[in-house]
Amino acid sequence: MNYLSRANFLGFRLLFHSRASKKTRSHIIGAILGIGASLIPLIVVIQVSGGMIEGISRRFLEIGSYHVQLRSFTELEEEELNYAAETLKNHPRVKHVFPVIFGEGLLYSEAGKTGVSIRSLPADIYEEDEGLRRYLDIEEGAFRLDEANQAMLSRELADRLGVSIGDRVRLLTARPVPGRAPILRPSIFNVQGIFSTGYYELDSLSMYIPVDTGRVLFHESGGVVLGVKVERPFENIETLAAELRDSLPPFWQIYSWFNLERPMLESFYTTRNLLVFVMFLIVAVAAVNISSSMIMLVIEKEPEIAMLKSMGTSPRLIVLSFLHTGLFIGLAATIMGLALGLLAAVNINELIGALETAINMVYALVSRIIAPTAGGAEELSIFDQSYYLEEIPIRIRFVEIFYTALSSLSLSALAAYIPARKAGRIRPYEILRKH
Amino acid sequence: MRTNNDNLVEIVNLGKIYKNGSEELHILRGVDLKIARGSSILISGESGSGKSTLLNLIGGLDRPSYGSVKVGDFMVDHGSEEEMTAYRNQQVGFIFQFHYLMKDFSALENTMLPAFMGGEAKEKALKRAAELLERVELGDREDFYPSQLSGGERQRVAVARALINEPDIVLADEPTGNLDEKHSEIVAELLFDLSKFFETTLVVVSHDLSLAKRADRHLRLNEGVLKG
Repeated sequence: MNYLSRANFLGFRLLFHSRASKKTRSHIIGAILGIGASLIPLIVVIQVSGGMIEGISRRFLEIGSYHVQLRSFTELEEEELNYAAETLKNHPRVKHVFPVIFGEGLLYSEAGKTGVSIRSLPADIYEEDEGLRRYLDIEEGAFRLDEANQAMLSRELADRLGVSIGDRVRLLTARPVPGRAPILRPSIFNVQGIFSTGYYELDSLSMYIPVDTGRVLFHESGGVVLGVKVERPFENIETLAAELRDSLPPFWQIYSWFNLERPMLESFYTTRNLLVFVMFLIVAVAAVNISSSMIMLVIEKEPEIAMLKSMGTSPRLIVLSFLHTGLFIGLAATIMGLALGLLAAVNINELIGALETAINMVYALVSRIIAPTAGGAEELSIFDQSYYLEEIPIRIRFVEIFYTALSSLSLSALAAYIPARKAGRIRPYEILRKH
Repeated sequence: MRTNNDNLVEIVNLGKIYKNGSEELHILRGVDLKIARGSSILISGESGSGKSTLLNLIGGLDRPSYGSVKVGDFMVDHGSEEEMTAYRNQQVGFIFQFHYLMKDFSALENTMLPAFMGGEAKEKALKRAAELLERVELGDREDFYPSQLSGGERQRVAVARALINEPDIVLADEPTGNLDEKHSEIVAELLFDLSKFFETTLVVVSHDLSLAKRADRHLRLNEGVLKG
């Protein structure tokens, strides 16, 4: 302890009380600014990508795949379905079980037509399922699937077909017939609500209809799925899925959200890890500045180091002192980088908005100068909302901040090691003779 | 009562050769010297005669090319890095011509450094340093940094620092070489008086022959050869 406190004392003094030359001091400040600045994008990337992945994952969990899905590939009687639902509800972690019927069709309006992905849902799901309510934003109308011909359309779909609340749309579905061409069946629906999940992939072709209507339209095509919502869906979901499977007859297939969304999640995390790695390389390059500024400090402090050695300071203690100096530089840079990085991360939506406004203003100005007769310039968007969330959800993850700070400090210590070792190897008599 | 066997320093056939390309520079040539414990000795000689090299070899800052240096029971020429560090900290006090105070540390901190670096608790080391600064009449300059002290004051701080661990031997390289006559007198008086007070062996190398009257012995070093 005493040893460390001596190293700390020397290291602190060598840096903060240093009567080092302006050049060395500006190098040290430069090293602090360099690492601090390189930490800002790293923090932003970690927090923003984490927020986006979590935001997208949660939307998929609550609206897309649900927490757990049960599929039966055999035709089931109503009683078997109810029995399965009741059995699942007995598990302490299960919050809500509901039938869903998936299907596809072609949706028509007077303005156009488009393929749609249909989910047939129970009428009370919006009231019952808090997760769905949280991520499904009803932009117009209300969530209403009480009657057979009621439908909910995504904003994208409604815009594409030019329909709004109260309008009628026609749906064409196909009923498979073994050995023959499928029979086409037209149905008419009234648009009751227009929703948005904030994520294009979930929104673009989505249409919700009542579950009973779905039974009629898609009964022969795919069977029924039971959607399950549970407590703490991110916790041991595979174990929970196995427990649920064990409680049901063997013809039920069970899939956790992790099974269903794994390729998407893995793709997100691979992209994120690659980005973090590149950003980390930038921090590592910036940390080299510590090395060069500390080499200058060591050269300047040669007489003092020689003096310390002549009075019996061990080379190890001198190395440790300069490592402390490097750590102090790293600490100052880390505090600065973390503070500014977090500030940028928590305000990322506003920053992007401001940046887009600024870019569009410049773009509009330049367009007007270059081609004054042309129409208004098209608005540019940094994040294409077709592929990302409309708003990036930010939740600060302190564990990630801790590991970032630890990495930055470790890099600083590593960068300080070479000059520290150089300081430890100084031969006092050579320096004293030289000076 | 001191006897001939009470020698603190025993130097036998000590030589130092520096190589400059193919050329060999014989700085010290077979020096034999015994220094009694608690005595003071002045070694004078011209520039380049090998005075500082001899001091560095005794102090364990450099290694001899041949011969041996023994201080107390410690063979200075054979010590490991760790042993040399402990030896320089516990048994030797250095004073240099150009003071070599640490400019980032106050007079008090400069004085306590050898004790603190040797493992003594900071508070205790600071207390002892304050006492020593009182002895060299710099009690009111404790918090001054070297740049705020005169040359004489800096050298008095260096004397206090050399003595803080009560070493067996103090090695002073031109301790008054950079001072005017008045301050040279003050520093020399302090150095010799305090060495006597702490019963420390004092080896001074200097051009300043006026120091001879204060030393128990006066030797001359000429082209690496020591003469009585």
